[in-house]
Amino acid sequence: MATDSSLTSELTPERSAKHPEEVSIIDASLRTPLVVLIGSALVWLLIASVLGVVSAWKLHTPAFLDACEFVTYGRVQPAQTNAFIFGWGFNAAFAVSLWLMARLSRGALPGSGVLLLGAVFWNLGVTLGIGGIILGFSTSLEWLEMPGFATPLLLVAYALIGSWSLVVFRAGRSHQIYASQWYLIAALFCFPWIYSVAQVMLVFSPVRGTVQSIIHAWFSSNLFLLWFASIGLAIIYYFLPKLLVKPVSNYYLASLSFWWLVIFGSWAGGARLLGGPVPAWVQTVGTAASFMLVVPLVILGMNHYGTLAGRWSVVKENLSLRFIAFGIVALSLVLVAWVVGAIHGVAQIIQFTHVTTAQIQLGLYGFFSMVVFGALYYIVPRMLDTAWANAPLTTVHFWASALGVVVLVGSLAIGGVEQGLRLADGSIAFAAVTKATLPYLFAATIGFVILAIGQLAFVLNFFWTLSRASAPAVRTMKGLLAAQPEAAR
Amino acid sequence: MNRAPLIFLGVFFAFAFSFVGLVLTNQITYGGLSTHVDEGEGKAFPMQPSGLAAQGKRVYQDLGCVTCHTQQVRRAGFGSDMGEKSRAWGERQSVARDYLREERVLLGSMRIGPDLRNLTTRKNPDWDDFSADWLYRYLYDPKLVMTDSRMPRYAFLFETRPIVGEPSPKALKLSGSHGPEAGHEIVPTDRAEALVGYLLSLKDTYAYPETNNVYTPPAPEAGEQKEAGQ
Amino acid sequence: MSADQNNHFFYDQSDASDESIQAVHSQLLHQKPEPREGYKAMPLFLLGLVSSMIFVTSIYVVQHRVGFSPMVYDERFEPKDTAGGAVAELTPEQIVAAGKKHYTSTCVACHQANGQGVAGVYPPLAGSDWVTGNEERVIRVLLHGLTGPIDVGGTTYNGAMPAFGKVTGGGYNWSDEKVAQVLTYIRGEWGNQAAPITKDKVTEVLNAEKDRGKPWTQGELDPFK
Repeated sequence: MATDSSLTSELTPERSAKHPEEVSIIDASLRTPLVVLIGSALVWLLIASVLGVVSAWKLHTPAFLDACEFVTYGRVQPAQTNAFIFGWGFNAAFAVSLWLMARLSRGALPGSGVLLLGAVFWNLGVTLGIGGIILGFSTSLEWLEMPGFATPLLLVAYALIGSWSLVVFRAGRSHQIYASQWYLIAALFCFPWIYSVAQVMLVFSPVRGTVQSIIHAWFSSNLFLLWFASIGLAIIYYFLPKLLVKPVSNYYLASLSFWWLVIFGSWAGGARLLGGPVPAWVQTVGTAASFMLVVPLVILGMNHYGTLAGRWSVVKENLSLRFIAFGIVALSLVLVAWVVGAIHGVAQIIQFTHVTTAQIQLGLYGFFSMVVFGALYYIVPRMLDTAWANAPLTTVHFWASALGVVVLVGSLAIGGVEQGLRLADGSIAFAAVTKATLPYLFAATIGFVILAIGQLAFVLNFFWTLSRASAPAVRTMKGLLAAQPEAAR
Repeated sequence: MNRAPLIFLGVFFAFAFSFVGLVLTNQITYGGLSTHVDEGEGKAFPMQPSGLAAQGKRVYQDLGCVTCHTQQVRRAGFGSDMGEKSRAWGERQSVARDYLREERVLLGSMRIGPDLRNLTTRKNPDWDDFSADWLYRYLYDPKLVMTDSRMPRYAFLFETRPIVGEPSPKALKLSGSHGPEAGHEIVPTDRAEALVGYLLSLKDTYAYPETNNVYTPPAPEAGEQKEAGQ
Repeated sequence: MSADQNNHFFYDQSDASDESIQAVHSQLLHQKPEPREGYKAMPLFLLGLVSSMIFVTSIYVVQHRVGFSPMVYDERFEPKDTAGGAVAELTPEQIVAAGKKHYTSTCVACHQANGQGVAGVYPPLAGSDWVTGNEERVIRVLLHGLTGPIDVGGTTYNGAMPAFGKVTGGGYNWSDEKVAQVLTYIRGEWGNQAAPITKDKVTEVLNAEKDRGKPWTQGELDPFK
C-alpha cells in the first residue's frame, strides 16, 4: 500500500478536525427523526422476516395455511417483498442518507417537524398498502402491488423527506461534493420520477398493451440500479475512507462510473423482457445497456477492492466494515449476474426461475441491507450517544445475516439453474421440474429462518440500546464516559 | 463534480433520456396499436373478453396468481415454450397485440407453475378431460385431478352447504372420502366461477400478420441454434 | 472480536473526519495517482475497455435493432421488403380457404352453397364460362356489379349483382385481396378448373376502371369475353 501512503496522511482523524464539536451537533440534530425512521424500518424488517419464512415455507409445503385466503402465497409473497422494500429498505435508506447528507454537507438539521410528518405519512402509506395486498387489492404488478389508495401518500411523504435532504445539502458548510453525495442526489431524483410515472401510467390511467410491461421493467430495474444501488454506493464511498483512514483508490475514476451507471443503467430494464411480447429493439437495447454495466463493475471494483486491499485485518476487527465488505462483494456478484443474465442463451434458461429471486435477494439483502446494517452500526451509537447494548447480539446478527444470505441465495441460484435446465427440456413433465426444486426450496426456507434469527437479534439490540439511551443518566458525554465499562460488558 | 447544478442537470437529463427513449417512444409508436380487423371473419382481434372473464381477471389479480404463473409464450428456440420438442404452451409466440384488451398486462416473471396464456388450447396427456368441471376440481384440491401437483388448494373459493331440494347442477362431482358429508354439496362461489371463466378464456390462437415476423434459420444453422439454446 | 465498536466506543475519534474526506477526495478527483508501476497500464486498460464496450454494444444494437419496429418480437428477424410491412404470403390452400370463408358468409345467399344459383334470377357459378372464362370479365363483375338480363349457358337470368369492390356506390368495399381470394375459390370449386386470380390483377383492373360508378351490363362486358 505504498501507493497511497503519501496521501493517507492527508486524511485527518476526527479528533484533529477544525470543528470537533460539529459532528456531535449534527448527530444530535438528527436524533429524533432518525430514531423514528430506523425504529419503523426495523419493525418492518421483522415483519418482512416473518413473512419471508411463511412464504418460503408455502413453496415447498403448499398445504401450509392454505385454508385462509389472506395468507395465500400470491398475497404473502408480495406483502413480504413490499414490507422489505418499502418498509425496511426505504425507511432505513431515508435515515442513512439523511445522516450521510448532513455529515458530508456539514450542516445540522434546521428542524425535524417536516421529517417526522414525512415518516408518519410514509409508514401509514406502507401499512395501508400492505394491508391492501393482504386483503386482495393488489395490483399484481411486481414491486408495485400496493393498491392505488396507498401510493399517493408515499409520494407526498417522499417529497417531504427528500426535500429536507436537499435543504440539509444546501445549508451545509461544505463546498465540495463527495461521491456519496452524487449518488444520494441521483437516488433522490430517481424515485419520484420512476414511481410517479409507474403509478400514473400503470395504475391510475393504464396505457394499452405491453407498453405497460416496458414501463414496469423500466421502473423495477431503475428502482434497483439507480435507487437501492445508489444508496448502497453512497454508504460504501463514505465509510471505506472513513473507517480505513485511507482515501478511495483510483478515485478520479469514480465520476466516470457514476455517470456511466446513471446513463446506461436507466436503459437496462429491457433485458428483463427478453423473448417477451415487447418490440425486439427494446430487448436489444436492454441487453446492450446491461452489457455497459461492465464498465461501472470494473471501476467500482477498482475503487472498493483497491481501497480495501491490504487492510483486511481492519475489516476483520471492525463490525461496520465487515458488513460493508460483504455488501461490496455482493454488489459485484449482482452486477456480474445482471450482465450475464442479459445474454440470450443464459436468459432463456434462468428467466422465470428461482434464479430471478436469488438475484433480487442478493441485491436487496446481500448488498443493500448488509451495507445499511454496517452504516447503522456506526450511526446509531453516535446518534444516541451510547454504545450498543449487547455485543454478542451484534455477532449473532452479522453471522446469521451472512450465513442466511449465502444459504438463501446459493440454494435459490443452484435450484433455479436446475429448474431452468429442466424447464428447457420439453420432455420432462412440469410436475417433475417442480419436484426437483423441492430440496433447494427447503434450503431456502432454512436461509430465511437464519436471516430472521439474525434480524431479531438486531432489532432487540437496537431497542435495548434505545431504551438505555433514553435513561437520563446517560444523556451527557460525561455520563457516557462513566457508563462505558458497563457498556462494554 | 463540485458544482451542484451540474449534477442536478446531468441526473435530470439522464433520466429524461431513458424516459423518452423507453417509455414515451414505445407509448407513441405502439401505445395506440389497434385491433386487427379480419374482414373474412367480420371480427376484430383480439376479441373483447366476456364480462365473466373480466371479473375473473380481478380474482386472478387479487389472489396474486401472477406470483407463480406467467402469461407469455416465448418464441420457438427461446426456452421451451413452443416449437418442436417443447412444452407446447402455445402455437405461436405472444405478440403485443394479444394484450390489447387487457387493462392490466400480467406477463409475470415466475414459472413456479406453468404458463397459462393458452390454457384452453393446451394439449396435455394429464388433461384428457379438461373442462370447467376439471378446473373447479383442480382449484378445490389440485391433488384430486393431478396427484403430483404442487399447487395449494383454493378450497376457500367453494362453499359447502346442505342440499335444499334439488342438488345444484354446479356441485363438484367428488368421490368417496373427498366428497362432502351426506346431505351436503360443494359448490363454487361466484369468484370461483369468474376465475374459471377467465381461465377458460385464455387463448391466443389468432395469427396476426406480425406473428410471422420471426426468424427462420437456414437449415444448417438450425442445429447450431438448438445447441446454443442448451 | 465484533465487540470492537463497544471496546473503542463511539467517541473514539480516530476515524477520518468528514472535512478531510471532502478535501482530499476533491483534489483526488482531478489528480491521477503519482506515476509508478501499474499507473500507465491502468488508464490504458480502462480506455480500451470503455471503447470496446461502446464499439461492441453499438454493433450489437445496429445489427439487432430490426428497424426499431414495434411489430417485430424476434431480434434476429430480417424483413424481406424494405417497406417493413412484412406481411406473410398466404399459401394457395390458405387463399382458397379464405375465399371459401368469404363465399359462405356472403355470396352463398344468392349463388347457393353448391354454386347452382336460383333458376331465372341468380345464375349458377359451377360450370359457368363467366366464372372460368376471361378473368378480366369476372373481376369486373365482382368489383362493380352487374345489371340487366344476362345469358349463362343458354339460359337467361335477370337479377342484380351488387358491387363488391372498392368502387363508388359499392356497399361492400372488399379489399382487392379479398376479391382475389373469393374469385380464386369459385374458379376452383364445383368442378371448375380455372387458374387462380392474383390480388395484383384485381388492382390492375380496378385502376383501369377507376372512373366507372355503375354496374356493368352484358353488352358492355362483351369486349372482355
